[in-house]
Amino acid sequence: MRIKACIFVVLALALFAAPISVQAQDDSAQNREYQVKAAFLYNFVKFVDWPKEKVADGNEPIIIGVIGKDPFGKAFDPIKKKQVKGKKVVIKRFQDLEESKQSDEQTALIRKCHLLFICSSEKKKLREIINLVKDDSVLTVGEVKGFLESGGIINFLMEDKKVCFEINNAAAKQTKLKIRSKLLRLAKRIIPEKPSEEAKN
Amino acid sequence: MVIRGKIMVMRKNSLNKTLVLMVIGLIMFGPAPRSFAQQQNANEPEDFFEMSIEKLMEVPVVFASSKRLQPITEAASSVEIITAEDIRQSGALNIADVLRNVAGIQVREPSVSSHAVGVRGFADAQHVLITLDGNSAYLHHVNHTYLNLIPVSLEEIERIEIVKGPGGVFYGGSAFSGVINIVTKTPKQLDGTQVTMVGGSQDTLRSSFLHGGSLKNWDYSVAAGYLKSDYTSPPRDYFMHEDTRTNYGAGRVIYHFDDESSITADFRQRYSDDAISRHCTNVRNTYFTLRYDQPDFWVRCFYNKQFKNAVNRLLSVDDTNYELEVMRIFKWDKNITSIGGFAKKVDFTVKNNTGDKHQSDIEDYAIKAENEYHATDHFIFTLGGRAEYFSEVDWVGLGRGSIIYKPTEEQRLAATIESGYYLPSLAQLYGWGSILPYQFNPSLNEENITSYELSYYGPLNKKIKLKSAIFYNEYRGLISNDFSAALTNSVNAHQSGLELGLDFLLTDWLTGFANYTYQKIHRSDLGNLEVDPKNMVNFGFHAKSGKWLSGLTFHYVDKFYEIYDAANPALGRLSAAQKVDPYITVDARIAYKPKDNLEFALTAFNLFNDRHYESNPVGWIGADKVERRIMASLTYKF
Repeated sequence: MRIKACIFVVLALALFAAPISVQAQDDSAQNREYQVKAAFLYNFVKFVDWPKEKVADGNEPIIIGVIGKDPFGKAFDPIKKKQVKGKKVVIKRFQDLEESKQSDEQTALIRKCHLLFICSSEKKKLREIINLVKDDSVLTVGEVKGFLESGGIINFLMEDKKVCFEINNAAAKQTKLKIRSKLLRLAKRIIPEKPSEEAKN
Repeated sequence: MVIRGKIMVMRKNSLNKTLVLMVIGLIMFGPAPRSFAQQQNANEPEDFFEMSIEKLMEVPVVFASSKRLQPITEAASSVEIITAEDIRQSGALNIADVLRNVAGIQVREPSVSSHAVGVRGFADAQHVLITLDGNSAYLHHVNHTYLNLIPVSLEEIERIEIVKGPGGVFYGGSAFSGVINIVTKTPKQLDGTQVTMVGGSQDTLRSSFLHGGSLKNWDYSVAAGYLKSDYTSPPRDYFMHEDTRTNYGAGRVIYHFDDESSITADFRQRYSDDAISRHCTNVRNTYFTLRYDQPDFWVRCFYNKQFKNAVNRLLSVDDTNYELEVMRIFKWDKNITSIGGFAKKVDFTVKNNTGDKHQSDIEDYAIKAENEYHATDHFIFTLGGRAEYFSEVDWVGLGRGSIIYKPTEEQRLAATIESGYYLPSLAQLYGWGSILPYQFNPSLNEENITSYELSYYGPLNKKIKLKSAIFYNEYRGLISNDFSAALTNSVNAHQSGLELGLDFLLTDWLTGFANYTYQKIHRSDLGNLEVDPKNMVNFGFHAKSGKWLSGLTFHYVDKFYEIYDAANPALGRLSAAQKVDPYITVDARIAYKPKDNLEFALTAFNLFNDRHYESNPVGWIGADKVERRIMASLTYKF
């Protein structure tokens, strides 16, 4: 009885003495989700071919843009040490479409991205963002329902608490991007590229 | 005549203890700081960047253990997850069938709606805690959890989390040998409407309807389901006619205050015409949950009531449970500290049709705390404890400690020592008074378990994942449940076991699993008698080709000796243990999915019609033989 009472007292003390000076950080579960998604984005770059004019300069890095309320935190940190296709990878963050549109420089930078992750905070402006970059061979990646139907190219899904993705190959083709078959094979859903008029004939 | 079934010897102290808990609760109700482990898993991203896309798609993002979301590789106990996809591919007709594939779990089907489930032995549905969204489905007055009476349909389940070994730190008295938590889909996960129709042998008809949606800050869902089945033909006699007719309805509303905090109200009710047998009719199970969630703080209020007529309508039974739980998580430096409080009250009343009445009740309060210390990127140490005041037993306590080594993000090697207890039920403490004179003993104490486990989880190569555990359990003061005399805490025992499981990704279109369980128990009253099957084997394959999916599953369960009637200790020990022969079942399923939202399937359970018993056929109720069942199903989502 005494031992049990002691356990109770220790636990009660533990409650009262719970730490107060703690430092804010993101939720670990959410952290983990976006760490996985950041690694997916890095992998997408490996399996997508951009037209030559987009990757003409051998010294230019691959630019991954993140537009909207950034959920990644420090998830991209390890990418600083890595290269893809012999190029460095840099991360550019953009506040939101409205702010970015006020600066021509920002708009040009968005259009220069190789991959643009559109955060869920920009859900209402999906079409506008996608239209902004549709002629610039930008691989658009999102995480909201209806992203592919809005013209986006790759959309993240959650299935059984694991991250997976779907692909709009028709939109990729329109943007002159070639998605390699390995990536297509792993997609949960594909909107196929439309057969060309020649092929139809 | 009113019979009070117990004397509240600890009442004089309970007020003070309640006050202490209230004070603690008030402290915890304060707004939780957005506080997290600054350096927790600092190198995790680097690990992910080394992974291929295929591997990334296998990374479990979150898992609820220790009653908080955490990676599966950081859980202190051995855990297994059954996903919604696993459930769909199994074609299972009930929750018990879904659990059969898991290493270390035994399911016994004595009758249509009284499955007994055990984790690492004790397949009696009282030593494993079964919860729906964290809310206990255990009923004190019958010492049992009736899986088929839980108001949920298979399609509404998002995942089932299985914690093996005592889960007492966070789950308390009934989590003696394990915890099975059924997690339902949120309205956002339902996102639309889904209709499922199933029909087949033994006059089975099962249907479910689900709808979920959002409106501004509100999420809502509704669900309904019906199951009718005659499992035995012809019935043995009028009272033992093993059939079931049951339906349920549920509704949930969630209001989001902002991106991180919400309040949920969930109401569900199941009504069953025949349940267990015709001894129990008009069974109404009502669940109501009110829950407030923040990322590091939640409060759960739960009301659970079962009302039924029993013994051919001679008795009416009312079992009402109230639960209040508060949990707060502090994340600081390299530590994650979980602290919680719990309060429960059970009121049981049984009346006969001449007006006689028996009442009994219990109160149960607990505080719990666990700290998870991330010493390095690869080593995690956990240490936790629980102190519980149970009105009939006084204070009990337990602890858990583990060392987890994570060589990589996907691997986990853990050594865990944990203790647990099983608190005697109202049925064992007081029976049903003179209304139904079971043997009982108000002086019963808790049963104790100490468990030692070494487990490993991780890939062997690119295509095979290994899940393994060895364990040794010591039991003290097990309740005799022998109705020839008053119940006593007279049995001691020890058990050793091994679980080995493999998950295969053979090709892009073919996946499989295989697991083996070995368990051996020695009891002071029965020696080495195999009261649980010594060996169990499960394996299966799933193939996908275009719009076609198929699956084949094999189960082997070794012989064992049943010591209870219908695998339920509340019905008492048999005069002599009954041998249940080993059995093999093969289940097969083929499905055609012309569109993403439409599926037709044909499922055969026990394909080769091995007519076997899963529990003993002797006794007051006794078990029925299990036969082949063939079911056709249609699922449409829009």
